Amino acid sequence: MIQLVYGLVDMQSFYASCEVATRSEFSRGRLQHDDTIDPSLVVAGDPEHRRGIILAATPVAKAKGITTAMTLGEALRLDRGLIVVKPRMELYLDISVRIQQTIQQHFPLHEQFSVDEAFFAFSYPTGLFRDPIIVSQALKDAIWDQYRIRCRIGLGPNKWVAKMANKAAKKAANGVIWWREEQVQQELDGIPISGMWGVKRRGEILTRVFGCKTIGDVANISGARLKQYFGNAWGEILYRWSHGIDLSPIDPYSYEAPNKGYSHKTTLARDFEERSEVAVVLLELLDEVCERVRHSGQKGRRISVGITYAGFDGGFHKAKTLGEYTDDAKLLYPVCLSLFDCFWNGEPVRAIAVGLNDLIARTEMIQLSLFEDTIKQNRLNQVIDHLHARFGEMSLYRASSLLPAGQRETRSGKIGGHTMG
Amino acid sequence: MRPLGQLRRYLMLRLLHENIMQLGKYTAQELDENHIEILHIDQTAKDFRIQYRVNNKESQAIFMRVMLYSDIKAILQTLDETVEIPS
Repeated sequence: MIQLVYGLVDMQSFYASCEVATRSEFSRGRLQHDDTIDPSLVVAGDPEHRRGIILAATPVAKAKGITTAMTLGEALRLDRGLIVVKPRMELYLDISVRIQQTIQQHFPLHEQFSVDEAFFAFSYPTGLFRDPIIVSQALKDAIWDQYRIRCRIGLGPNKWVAKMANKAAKKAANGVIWWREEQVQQELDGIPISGMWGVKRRGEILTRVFGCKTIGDVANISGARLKQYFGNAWGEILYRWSHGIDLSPIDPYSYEAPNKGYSHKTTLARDFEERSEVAVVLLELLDEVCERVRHSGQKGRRISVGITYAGFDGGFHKAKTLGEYTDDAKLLYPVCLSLFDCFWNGEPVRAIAVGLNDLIARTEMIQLSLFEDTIKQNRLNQVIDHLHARFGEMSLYRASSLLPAGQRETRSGKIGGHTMG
Repeated sequence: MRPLGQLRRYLMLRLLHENIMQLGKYTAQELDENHIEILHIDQTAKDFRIQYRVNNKESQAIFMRVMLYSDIKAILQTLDETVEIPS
């Protein structure tokens, strides 16, 4: 009987692989099936000052004990000859977009899952897809031939099993693993709870409260018991996943769906001790958030402020829901400040985040105010957005960004908090 | 670089050019022999999008300049080291 086989393709150490593939000093003589001849290289925040965290590491660096999110100092202690490069986010995104196109050329039913991962599905057995392993291997080869980036592929009867099989594919010689429906339970049964993708802290609860060590142990708990503890939704999900069931479809438009919220976070180069310093950054982040919300044609009413204290130790994330929807930083800024004033305990601040969610599509209707010229303010925002789109973010900005606390210039050279390259 | 070093470099590049022309012909022949037909190449600032046919099956591929340059630069670096005469 013809059925859909689902796959998850995942690039190997994506940012680090992009660096190795695009630097002439490393690119020559690389082999698709031997990553041990690649350099010991990491992509890290600030190589000049030997600070920041590891964003990606080649398998050779990982073999030396270096892991992502480790500090650069620690990594350099593990490997004195480690090659450290700055992130080039623009390059990674350029490569990512093209790799996704290549995946889609091979498997038209495709869903981008992250910058370096994608789900796909195909009907099997059919004339086009005679052998799932061979067609997946063809995609792997194409990605290597075109981009010099290695990847691995997990195949299964649904998306969640494909994700789990993908993890197992790391150990497969050809980097492709296919779990057929009849073998899924057997494969899952022996996997430790820590390897159960997507459950987050619920994994710890499963171990602590239910005494589960493996996915097989979870599969032995009744659905009713799981629902009793985790609630109807998560109880059902845990029950299904532990039995290798996942009903979620491939969504080719997942990246085009309207956002449920927008947020920006910045980690400061030093601790901020003064309220006035934090206030400058709050406004900058809020401006960025509001501009993105306006660009998406939406408005929001739930504003949030997140603060991380010095040493990344503690902090708070608080939100307030307003009576009306807005996309105007001028209206939201006092709310941000009052949230900060309400919950800040006076400790030095190291990271600041601002978010706007509970969004709706913007209509032409404008909520008029007795005290503000809303129409004029809307037009002003439109002009600012237009100038930024045409001449860049640094073409027009608030004078407060020129204060020592201002982060705008530093942030304008970054994508996702990392250097554009 | 000394004048003789420059002349040496020039001659090497001429020979290289001749070799590359030959290699180009050989590669085209190889494509023919393997029934690989290039139908169309789209060039942009960042990539080549190539439409091709292998054994009557049409397909397309993307090759990014940054990766191709990286390979070429590695080859040229070897050449540079070969022709370099310290002054």
